[in-house]
Amino acid sequence: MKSFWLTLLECTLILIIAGAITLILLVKIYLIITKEGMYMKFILKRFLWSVLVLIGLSILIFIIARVVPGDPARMALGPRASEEAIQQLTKELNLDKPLATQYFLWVKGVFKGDLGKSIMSRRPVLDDIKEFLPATLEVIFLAAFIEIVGGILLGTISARYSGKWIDNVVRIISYLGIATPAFVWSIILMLIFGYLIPVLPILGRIDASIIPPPTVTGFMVIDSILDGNMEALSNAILHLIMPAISLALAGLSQASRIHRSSMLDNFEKDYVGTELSSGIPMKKVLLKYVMKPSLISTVSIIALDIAAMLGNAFLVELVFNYPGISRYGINAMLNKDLNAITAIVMIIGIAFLLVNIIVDIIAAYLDPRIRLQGGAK
Amino acid sequence: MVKTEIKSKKTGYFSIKIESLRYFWYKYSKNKLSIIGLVVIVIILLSAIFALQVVPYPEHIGAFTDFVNANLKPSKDYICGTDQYGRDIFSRIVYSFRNAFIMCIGVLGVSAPIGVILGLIAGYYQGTVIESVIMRIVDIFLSLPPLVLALAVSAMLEPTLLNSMLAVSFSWWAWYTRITYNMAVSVKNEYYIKSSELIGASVTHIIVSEILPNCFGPIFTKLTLDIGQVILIGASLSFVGLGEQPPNPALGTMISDGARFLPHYWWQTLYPAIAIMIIVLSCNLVGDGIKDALSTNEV
Repeated sequence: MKSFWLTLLECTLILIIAGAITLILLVKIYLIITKEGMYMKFILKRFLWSVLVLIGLSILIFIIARVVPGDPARMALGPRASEEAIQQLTKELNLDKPLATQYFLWVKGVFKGDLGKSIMSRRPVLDDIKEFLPATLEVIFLAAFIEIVGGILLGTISARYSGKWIDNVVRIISYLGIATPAFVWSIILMLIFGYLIPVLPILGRIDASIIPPPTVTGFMVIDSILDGNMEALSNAILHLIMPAISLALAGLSQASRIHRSSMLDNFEKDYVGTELSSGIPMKKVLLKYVMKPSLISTVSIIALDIAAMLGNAFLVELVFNYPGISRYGINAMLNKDLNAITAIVMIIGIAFLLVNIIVDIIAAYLDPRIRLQGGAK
Repeated sequence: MVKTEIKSKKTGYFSIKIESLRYFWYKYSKNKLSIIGLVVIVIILLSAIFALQVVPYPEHIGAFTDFVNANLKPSKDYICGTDQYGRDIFSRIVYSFRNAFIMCIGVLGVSAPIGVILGLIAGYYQGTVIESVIMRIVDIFLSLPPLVLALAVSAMLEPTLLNSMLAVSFSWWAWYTRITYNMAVSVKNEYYIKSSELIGASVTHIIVSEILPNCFGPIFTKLTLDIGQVILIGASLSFVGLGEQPPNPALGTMISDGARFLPHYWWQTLYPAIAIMIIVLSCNLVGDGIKDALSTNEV
């Protein structure tokens, strides 16, 4: 049994890697904090509030998972399970105790770094998470990159050429992108780039013929670099492309629409006219003076979408049979693996709330009015 | 004429006149894409209602096997091909639109009223315990993407269409509560509400006749934009087998069934996928059109 502090350290490590961007943001927070105390109060309040929401979420998901028609242990083990196995599981999951006691025991376990045992994998849920989370984060990082670059680029282009044919093409693409669920994109991409023009690998995280690098961080790409294994590196990256694109497309489309309309809104402002009439080149006005205020709504949309990706990845990872936390989560749900479901839902909730706070901070960075008035809303 | 109509709009949605409907249609029809979307939706809706009369092979909708004609490519007889049991995919797609619309009506019909009522109550009792209890619960529900909550709930229940509707509604109502709450709070301190209170109007009267009409615009916009989203979530649920059960057709189930035979029998996946794209796209176009027509800043 690992000590609590070691597990805690590992969890923190994962979270820190998850927020590579967050690190940069922390510096920004520091700057904001030192400048405006009022805003710090606001963020602090948001943070404490999020902790309360998380406690509420854990109670909610706990109730959902336990107050279901039928016996959870029996449902988890299937109809052919023996009576003894069911009773043993009931005892193991504390299902024979009252709901409040069960919740209390679960919380106690969480503070000890014990999220319970998974019925599917017969391992501690924490071990499963540590194995599968990095794989999903890899996909999400790439998807986030595609979404940020693509969304802002397409939005800027269609705002610059609004009303021209290029704007209409982008509009059609983004309408299609929003209307299509990620799992449909993954199947269409699979059909095109996996079978029609077979350039990308379809299933899994790495080809079976390639020896995977030894696990250090759990991130296949980083591990391959550390190992100096270029073959595994390129193969792992190729495996990431299709899941990442299918995850990013919907959000990219939405972001590009929103970025376009806020660019156009800001372009109408008086200061833009002043700048243009005083001879500042169009390119500079667009990229420097119109872009920054327009980014506020775009960034919030993109960030929230990235947080939702953990959930959207559920079906995408299923299609590509990608061994990530989302495939694990959906399998846990379909197999009624109570401890695993609770853990996954909590992770997604944490990511969502964290991103919400980050969005507020970015908005305050981009719009001084927000931080000077002590926070939006 | 336009000016008077805007005025009558402000006095409440209950006094909608034919002219304001005509004005609404004038604004809506300015966007050609929204018209196309509306036409497509009407066609899909009609074909879903009269599915058994329109489709070429009505008997293929349920449990039907014809292994001689299994896995046929799209042809004149079967315009979208046949599945592994020899059933016409086109007929099954058209019929599954019915479930998609039933899902929308069920989910929005349950979650919107519940959400709106709670939002109105929370907004009216702003600053009291009632407000904090309702809005804190809403915060908890909104801390998860709807797909995740819907999956978690429906996985716990028996996989049926009704249960998946329940699961999606369960994750959906909170959005309506938040929208209505924001609107209700913004009108709550207006003088006309205060005067109604002063002359002794009941709480129900104030909430239903004074506050609610002001919230209709955003709620209606959200409703129209949600139709496509609910269809998407319904398809995602049926994709993992939580929803309408075989042999009844559902778009998600058809896609996941066909995906197992992917490179060879591509039509079994591709056509249901395109069907989802078309239906959601037209719902979104209509929703956008209605949103633009309802917004007052643009005349």
